[in-house]
Amino acid sequence: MTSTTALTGRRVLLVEDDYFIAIDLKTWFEEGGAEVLGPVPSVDEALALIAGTDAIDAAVLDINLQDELVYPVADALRARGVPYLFATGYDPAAVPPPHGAVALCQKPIDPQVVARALFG
Amino acid sequence: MQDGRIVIPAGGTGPAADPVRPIPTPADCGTTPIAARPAPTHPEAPRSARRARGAATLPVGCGELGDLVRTYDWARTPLGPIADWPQSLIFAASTVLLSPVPIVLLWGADGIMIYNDAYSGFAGGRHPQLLGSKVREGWPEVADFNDHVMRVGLAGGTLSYRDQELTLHRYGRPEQVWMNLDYSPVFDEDGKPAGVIAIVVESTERVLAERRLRESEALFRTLAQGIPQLIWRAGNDGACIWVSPQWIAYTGQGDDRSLGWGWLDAVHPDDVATARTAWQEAAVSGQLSYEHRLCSAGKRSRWFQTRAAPVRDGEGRIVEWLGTSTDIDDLRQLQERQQVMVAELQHRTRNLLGVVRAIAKQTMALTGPGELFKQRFNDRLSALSRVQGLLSRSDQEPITLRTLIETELAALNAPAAQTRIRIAGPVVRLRKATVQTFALALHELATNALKYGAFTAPQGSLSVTWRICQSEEGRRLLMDWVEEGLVRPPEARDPPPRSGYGRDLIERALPYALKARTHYALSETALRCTIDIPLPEGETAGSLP
Repeated sequence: MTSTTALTGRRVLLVEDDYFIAIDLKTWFEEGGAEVLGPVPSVDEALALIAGTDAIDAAVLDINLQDELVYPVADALRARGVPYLFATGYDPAAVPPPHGAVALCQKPIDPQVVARALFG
Repeated sequence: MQDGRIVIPAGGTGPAADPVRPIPTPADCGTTPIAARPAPTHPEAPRSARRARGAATLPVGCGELGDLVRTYDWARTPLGPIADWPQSLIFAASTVLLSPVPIVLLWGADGIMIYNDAYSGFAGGRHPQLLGSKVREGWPEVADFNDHVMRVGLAGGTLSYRDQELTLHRYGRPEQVWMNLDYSPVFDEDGKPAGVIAIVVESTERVLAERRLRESEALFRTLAQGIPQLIWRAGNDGACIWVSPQWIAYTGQGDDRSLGWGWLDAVHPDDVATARTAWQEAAVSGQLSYEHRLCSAGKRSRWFQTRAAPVRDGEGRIVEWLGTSTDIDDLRQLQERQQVMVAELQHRTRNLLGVVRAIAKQTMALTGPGELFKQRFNDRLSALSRVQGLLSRSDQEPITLRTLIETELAALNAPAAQTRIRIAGPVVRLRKATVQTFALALHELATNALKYGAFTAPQGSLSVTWRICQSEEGRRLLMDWVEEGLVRPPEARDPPPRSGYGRDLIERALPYALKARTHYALSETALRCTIDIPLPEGETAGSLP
């Protein structure tokens, strides 16, 4: 469980529109010692949270947020140099470039895989 | 010497007539005489033109008919024995017998028939009885026609017919035939018309072939214009030489604008390169097949599949292409929609697995492992399953708030309880994205009503009502879930069982996922839960169910 210890003290932004999955992820990250920013279910709330937060170590983004796509959030994170990955039910082929280059975890996501992808 | 107006055959020089002498071809194909000139006037012919009878004889040879004519008993006919025939008749008969073209000589007022080998083939079953007979009796079925011929011919006139349609009985049955017929008079030693030379070339085969060709062309035109495809012909390089009316109707391009390379103007600008490449490759591969958009007159462009087969000459070189362009726009749209649907389904399925895992974990956190977990988890899975059923049918049957409420209440499987329920509100169609969370919340409310609320008390009742409000924040849906007449069992008072998972869902999940404002109030005798969620335009059907 080296990956879990890698979470300690990390500030991780979670963007996920489904309450159950969001809470599940939040619980898991918190159990691993991370500090969770959010979770938030929409692009607007995510952008507001990013703008109002100084330190973000990483982010996990659901691509499809009800009727909108998360890409503006990804752009904002990249602009700040924050590593992020997509957690999605879509096939990798359905993710358009340049976002296609970012790590992608298929749902239901495995927290171990997420932690490894974000923090090595 | 001979009268200059009378053409005398080069008979008597032997049977070796030149077989390859050119045969004049008719210029016109009408069935009325194309040349009928009045009888020339003959001045009194010189006496010297009369020769002693029998001085000339039929040439040797002249085929089967030559032999037949020589041996025929002409004494029985008005012509008398050959030895007595005038020289003009001998010359005319020689001409006829030597000709490779079917010719019959009709001599005298009765038109006694002398014909050659070629004509005997045409005469069919009538030969050889036809020889020496009167034309009227030899061809009774066309007696009137031949009467006219004899009248004109013996008056010195000529007749010419192209593709004259006649019904003959050459083989004992009526037979429709077409003929090229040329009649010209033959003059006797006195310069008077004494007979008629009839060149009889049957054109039945050609006429029928042309008719078949016309029918086949008509069939092609019918097919080409009747099928939904746009049909065209192009040269071996892709330059168009013909387009079907469908092409003109769809593209709005006239013939003048579609021919040559004009058709490329109708191809969507983004697909012109594809079209050019396809034609370049077709020249090599001998196959043409590509998909492209085609601009329609005044409408949006549609996708077409263009295919063509090469038409080759005897040496296998491509002479032209016969092609079709088939509208595949609907098919492509369906395919695209299917791809989207498959992707959505995959997304929904994977998401659902995440939700199931989360619900299992969250349920277990409250119940611990054991019988209670099994019960609660199964209930929630059933609720999830019901909502998936609604979602899968939602394209045909939009999901309304009423449907969602009724589905969850029906799933309680408590018939007695159903009489104490009141449901009322306008038609509200829910967005697919909101349905699942909403359904899970309703499931928790319904389950609690069955286990701890309205349906446990003899006087308990449930009222679910909703309305649509316009506020400064936009349209909102206000739903009230009210249970009354509750009798709370003493053991339920501490701790209140309803502060568990269901309440958490209403107070946290709905605000999170649906931007809802919720209020949950439990008193001694009543439960009042208010759910207030944004309702963007398009989520109401307007009319009552």
